[in-house]
Amino acid sequence: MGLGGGPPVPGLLRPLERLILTGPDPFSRLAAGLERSGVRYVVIGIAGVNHYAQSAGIVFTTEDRDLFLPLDPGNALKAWRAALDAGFGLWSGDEPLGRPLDEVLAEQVVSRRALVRAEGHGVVVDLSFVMAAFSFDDVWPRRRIFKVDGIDVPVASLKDIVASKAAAGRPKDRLFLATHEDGLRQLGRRRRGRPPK
Amino acid sequence: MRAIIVRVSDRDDDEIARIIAPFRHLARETGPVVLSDEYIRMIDEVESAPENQSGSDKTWVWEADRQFRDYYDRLKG
Repeated sequence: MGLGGGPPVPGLLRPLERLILTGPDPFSRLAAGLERSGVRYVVIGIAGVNHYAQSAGIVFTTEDRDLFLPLDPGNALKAWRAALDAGFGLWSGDEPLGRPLDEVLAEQVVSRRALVRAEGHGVVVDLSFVMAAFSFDDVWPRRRIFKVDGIDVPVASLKDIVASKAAAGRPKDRLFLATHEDGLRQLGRRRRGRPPK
Repeated sequence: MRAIIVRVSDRDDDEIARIIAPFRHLARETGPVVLSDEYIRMIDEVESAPENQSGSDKTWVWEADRQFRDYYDRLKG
């Protein structure tokens, strides 16, 4: 994590130029598909935390994005189909998610709370039914709905995401929490006109 | 190093403790973390900021993430 502050995006390319050169972002395509299909989900994990960053200098990099889904087979099925339509492959563990993609499969996956991973275009998205210390109904009412490329993106509250990481307490969560806390502290000092320690 | 394997069948507790003593500092802490009051207060401040309310445009966050990924991909060659 950098703490450079400064303007939000050090854009070398304007959005239209980027779109022409690289095409729409795969995650944007997925989010648009989820919105079109009316899928209930919230962004959690570090990808969720990043939506609360004050500037590009305090955006964490993460290899995958975590989406938290309710224990609802029909909703999961819609999410998987949206991912396929957006050009992602679906994986469960080391194997492709079984076929056919139907309610029976969805019910099995949901009952086991199994992680389904959407991979494609160099992007990895975890479609999870588990968020440490929280149920979906806990976090859903407290979500924020942010706009990204004109798409509504539901993001769990920062307090819920941090509390979940604190509850999980894995080494990587501990590292994140320490870094995030320090980042917020330094940001506060800078705002109060004191040099960061 | 992921693990230290000590065959315990023919060793007593004191001997096992002596064997693993030099490696205790390698143990990683896991389990729930208690957040400090200051950290919770800072999170509340961030969450209550006008730019972090529903409806706020966060396209720049995804754009920044995209640029970091492009940068690292270029570094990896």
